Amino acid sequence: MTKTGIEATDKTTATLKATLAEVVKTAFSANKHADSEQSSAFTIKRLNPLRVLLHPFESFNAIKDEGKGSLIATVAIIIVFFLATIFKRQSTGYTFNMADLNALNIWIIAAKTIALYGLWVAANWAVATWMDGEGKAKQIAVVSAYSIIPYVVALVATTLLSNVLVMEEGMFLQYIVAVSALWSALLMFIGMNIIHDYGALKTLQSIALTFVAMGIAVFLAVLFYTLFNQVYLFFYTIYNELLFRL
Amino acid sequence: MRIKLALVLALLLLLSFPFQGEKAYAEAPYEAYVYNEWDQSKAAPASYLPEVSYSGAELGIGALQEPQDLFVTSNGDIYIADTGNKRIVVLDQQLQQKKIIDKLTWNGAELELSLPTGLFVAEDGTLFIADKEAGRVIRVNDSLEVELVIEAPQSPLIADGFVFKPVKLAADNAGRIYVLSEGQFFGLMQFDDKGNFTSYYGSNRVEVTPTVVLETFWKNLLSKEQRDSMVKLLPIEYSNLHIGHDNFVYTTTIISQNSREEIKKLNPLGNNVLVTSQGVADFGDKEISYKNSVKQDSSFIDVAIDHDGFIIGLDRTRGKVFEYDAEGNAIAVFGSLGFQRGTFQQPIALSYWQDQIVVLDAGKRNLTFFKRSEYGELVRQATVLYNQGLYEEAAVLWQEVIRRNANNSIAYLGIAKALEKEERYDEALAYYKLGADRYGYSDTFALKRMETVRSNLPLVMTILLLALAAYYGVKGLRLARSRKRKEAARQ
Repeated sequence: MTKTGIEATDKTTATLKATLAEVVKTAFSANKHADSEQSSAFTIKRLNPLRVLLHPFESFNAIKDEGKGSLIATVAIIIVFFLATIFKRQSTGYTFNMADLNALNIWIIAAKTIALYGLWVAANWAVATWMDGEGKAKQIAVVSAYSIIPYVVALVATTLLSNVLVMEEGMFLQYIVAVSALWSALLMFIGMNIIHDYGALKTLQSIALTFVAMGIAVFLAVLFYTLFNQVYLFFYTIYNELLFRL
Repeated sequence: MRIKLALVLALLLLLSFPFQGEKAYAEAPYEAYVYNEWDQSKAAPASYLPEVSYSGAELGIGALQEPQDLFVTSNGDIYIADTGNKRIVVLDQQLQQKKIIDKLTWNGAELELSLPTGLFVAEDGTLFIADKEAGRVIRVNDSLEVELVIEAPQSPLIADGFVFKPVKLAADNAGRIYVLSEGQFFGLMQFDDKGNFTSYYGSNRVEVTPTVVLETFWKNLLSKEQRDSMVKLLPIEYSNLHIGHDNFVYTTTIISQNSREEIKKLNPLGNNVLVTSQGVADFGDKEISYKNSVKQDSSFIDVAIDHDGFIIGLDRTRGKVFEYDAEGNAIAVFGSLGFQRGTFQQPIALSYWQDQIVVLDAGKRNLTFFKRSEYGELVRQATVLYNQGLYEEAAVLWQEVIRRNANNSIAYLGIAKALEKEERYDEALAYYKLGADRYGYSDTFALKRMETVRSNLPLVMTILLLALAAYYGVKGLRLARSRKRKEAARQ
């Protein structure tokens, strides 16, 4: 009886010691944190992009306040987005695939993914500078890329699923894509809200303006392309004329 | 040595050409093609070749003048509406002149045809004539007695200022007469066998184009007076009609903005039943070109049906004849505008005639007969078998068709159906892919999936159950062990 009693007391002391150590540790780390940076409830050593999916507020705050989020992950996500779009075009099951597999144009897909993303980031950054947004270009890039993760995952998932579904079950694919697109849109909205420190209405305004800016950018690009084409043709004609006359 | 070798080779080369004898391989003066899944045209062997063409003089009926219509009866008599000469010429099946109809008597008075533009002959030999200039429809019995004349129909449904200008007509086997009147947008005019107007029938719908949507939007906002001053949205006029052996009314439309439903098959309610699984069918050429920024679309001006339900339509724009099976699948295309034999100047009417197709040309004033080539004959036989549901029998012929034309998607579908019937799903899937039928592919895939699941489910479930059992077994074992240890520790 006494033997077990002693053992029990030993155990309690051990647990006591452990809790004490923990308390000290947390206090110390909190102290340290308070010293180094602004006070934040949590510290994440490295932000896992997947954490964004379920904890957007916490994660985007970490990106804004603590400079978390990596450009490498961003680039990786965009490349995966690009590859997933190609995968979807080429490997969707025949039942649902309306594309001509032999007429693959990677440049068009790149324009629809990588260039579109770049345009979005640039336009949003431009709008943010004009609308007193606090987000930096890197933050916009990181948040935008992290936000489209659900959509990219859905691209791959629906492509794989489409190979085992029949025509009548096709609506499931649409549901998955719709849900993931909504999820991504929501993440994007929250992200923009946080990194620019906007209200909800102002976020919507800035997103609408971003689309306008993207439209203007595309318009200008087309305009310049045609104009320079004209200039090129002009000089080419002169060159030809000279060649004929001399 | 070298020269010798060359000589030997030349001799071999010469011998390698078989002596083809007198058999001439006729080249068609036009291109044949099929459309693939993405509406790109791909070369195909010619299905029909020009056989012979006859002008009016060669037929012994005098030069034709602006002929407008052609009708072939089931026993092979050809009726030609020789509109400019104000007469109707009938040829028998040897293409000899049978009779010429130009003067008729009605109520004791002489009745002259003024501008017969359309005609139709019923099974019993009753002849219907649309006399456009005089604004009347005439029914003539077998012995050339006028039975009925329809002039200026009266009905509350008909607008006051309406001028009856019958251009084309047809009659079903209940004696109902369907008349296409010029400048009239409500569809065909239907008369009973007494000549009373009963109703309008099977009007085209107003096509939904962006302009129409915009117009409708504005009309919703405007007042009635403002609306009345706007352009009225009218359905497109029909250009021709025909009644097949199945007693359905077939119609053609010249201009269709959306390039859909140019040929329609109307059921008794006036609804189009010639639709495919993908929706309304697209007839005519699918690669659209523009000339002076005007869309050069196929404009169908005549249609004919044969005893197997095959449909031929005549395109005025490019002088082409399009043949479709009863389901609306493209079977053949031939003809073009030109001067050679087998091409047209101003094709105006066409019909089937004893396994051939005869086209009436108002510009060249002649009749041209087209005969099916070996390839065309194969496709036809296979299609007939296929539409009867005899897939295995058709598949043998389809194989032959594919040897001659690897772009024929219906042939692939025919083989796919036969393979599916034999439960050879993997091969069927490959053929469905070649034939670009996603619905067929999906159905076969469902069968294959079921089969795969059925054959593999026991194994998968066994492994799954074993894994579960193993997991919980190990877990239970561990629990028991730790309990034992605890008990040992407690003691």
